[in-house]
Amino acid sequence: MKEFGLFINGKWEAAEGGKTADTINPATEAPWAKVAVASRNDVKKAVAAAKKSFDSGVWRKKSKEERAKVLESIAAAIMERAEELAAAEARDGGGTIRKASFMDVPGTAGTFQEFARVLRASEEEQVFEETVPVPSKNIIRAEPIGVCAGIVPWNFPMIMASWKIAPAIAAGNSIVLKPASVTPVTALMIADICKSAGVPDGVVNVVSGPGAEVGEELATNADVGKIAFTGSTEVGRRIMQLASGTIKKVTLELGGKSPNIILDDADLDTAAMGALFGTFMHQGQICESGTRVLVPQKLYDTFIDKMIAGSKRITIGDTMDMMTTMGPLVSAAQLKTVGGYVDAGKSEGAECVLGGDRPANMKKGYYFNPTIFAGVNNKMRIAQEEIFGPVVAMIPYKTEEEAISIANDSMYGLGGAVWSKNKDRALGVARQIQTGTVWINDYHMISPRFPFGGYKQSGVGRELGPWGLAAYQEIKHIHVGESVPADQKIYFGALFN
Amino acid sequence: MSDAAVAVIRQVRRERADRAGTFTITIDGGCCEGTAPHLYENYVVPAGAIEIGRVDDVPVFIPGNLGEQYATASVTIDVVDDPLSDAMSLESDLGKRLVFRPGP
Repeated sequence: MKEFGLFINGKWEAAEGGKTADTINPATEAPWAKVAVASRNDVKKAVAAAKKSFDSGVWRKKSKEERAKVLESIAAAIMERAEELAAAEARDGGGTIRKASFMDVPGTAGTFQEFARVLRASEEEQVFEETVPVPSKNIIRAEPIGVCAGIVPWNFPMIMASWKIAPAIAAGNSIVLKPASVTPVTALMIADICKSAGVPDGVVNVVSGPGAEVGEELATNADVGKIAFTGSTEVGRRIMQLASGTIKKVTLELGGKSPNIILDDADLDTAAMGALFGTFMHQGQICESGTRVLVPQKLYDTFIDKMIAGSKRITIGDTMDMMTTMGPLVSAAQLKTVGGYVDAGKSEGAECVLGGDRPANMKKGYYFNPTIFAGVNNKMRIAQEEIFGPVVAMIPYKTEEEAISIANDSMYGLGGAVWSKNKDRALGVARQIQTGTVWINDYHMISPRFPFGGYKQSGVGRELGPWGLAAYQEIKHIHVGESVPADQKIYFGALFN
Repeated sequence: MSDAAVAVIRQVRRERADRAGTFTITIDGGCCEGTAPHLYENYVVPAGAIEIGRVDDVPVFIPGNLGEQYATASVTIDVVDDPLSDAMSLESDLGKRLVFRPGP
């Protein structure tokens, strides 16, 4: 069995008291790696190492070009170790090897690559010459914040690690990242790759550890200047409250119950496949999954039939088989949660027209069948709460206005889509949807070039692209005045006679 | 509330007795683990949240937007072993996790 420590100050360290935990392969229910479990003191040690590296200037004082080259080296090293990383990601989180190979690994490398480009294109200093009220030069500088903390979830462990590490170090910060306790392995491997690619010791630290104390330490430690969290809305709310003690910069990417609106002039065959792709990709364990599919009443039954037919092309099986397109849920706990929501949907009067149970052919693993609920109204729990499993709620609507109103009737505002052959009409709808991302005739097309984040209780701030880099920077204004006699500074007259 | 859950909440309070905090249970969720109870110290309850009960003197809240769905439901809070929970709920430091189950 593989073993991993905590990655602190460029070295593998044992946790305080030698504490470890097994990480379970969700497809086999068997442990496959042993990982050190951090205590509050271990987190303090990681923050201290990050602070020391930041204060020393060993990374932040490097030029943009030097930092960009290191980010590119990280991207190249990730692709060199693609096979190993993909296998680890599939074993740790239960995603398919197909997804890990074609999405997770290139997505992670692509994030580092893109932030190298964004960094080069960014302006560290802008200069403005002013004449009023006195001649002055005004320098606007983008500077790193200091020590950043990142907390990431278990659904995309490696990509989520890159979304925090890449912009943090591009901007010149040091970072302490806490991966999800059930999927810590690839984030630890990425930290090791960062070191090999030239990131100085202490700049990237990764500590795995569950519990309130570890999270509380990251969100309250006075030496942490910024915390970036991806995960549940409730935990995000808690982190924001804890971070208020020391007024940390906070970015949050939280839950969703995203609307996927099928307009009556959509290509129904493609839209039905898109609705399946939008909800069942990675077993529905994606924050911006289109879990509320809004369908015109007159097309409702036809559309559901097309989705049921399309679902036959989803292959549940061994995650390490390249032909498998759907793996297990991440954990026994998640399996129980999803089962509970299926029961809730039935008891609220929705009709389960596909799935709702576990696949009979899988003897081991936390597998759950793709599940479609018909007859759903937007007030039901299965339409309001995020399930994070392969469960889609089909909601009928009568008019376009009603569809928009249902789409926006949610505490969340993360993603969504509109399907129509008429792009102008779809755009008109997209502009009225209160979410951070809207796809037209597509789903899950997240790009590191473009901002990602949530309206309403789906988050604060944006990740990726130049917007994502800015979230890891402080902005400083330096006013350069003239050294002239005091009587020439006429505004001094406000105080002096 | 199951007896085991009450016992765990009391244990958390004993272990944090040296601090001046007040305790709250809030039932909410989002991404990653579904709606679940979270036991927090010094929690600021969101506007519109509804108090649905108490465990000893610890109030239990649900967000206002779920009030309608849960108004008629009976709710049981139970506890399971979960040494790897990232929910930041205080009992997770004991390797436990409160879980929320519809029904008595």
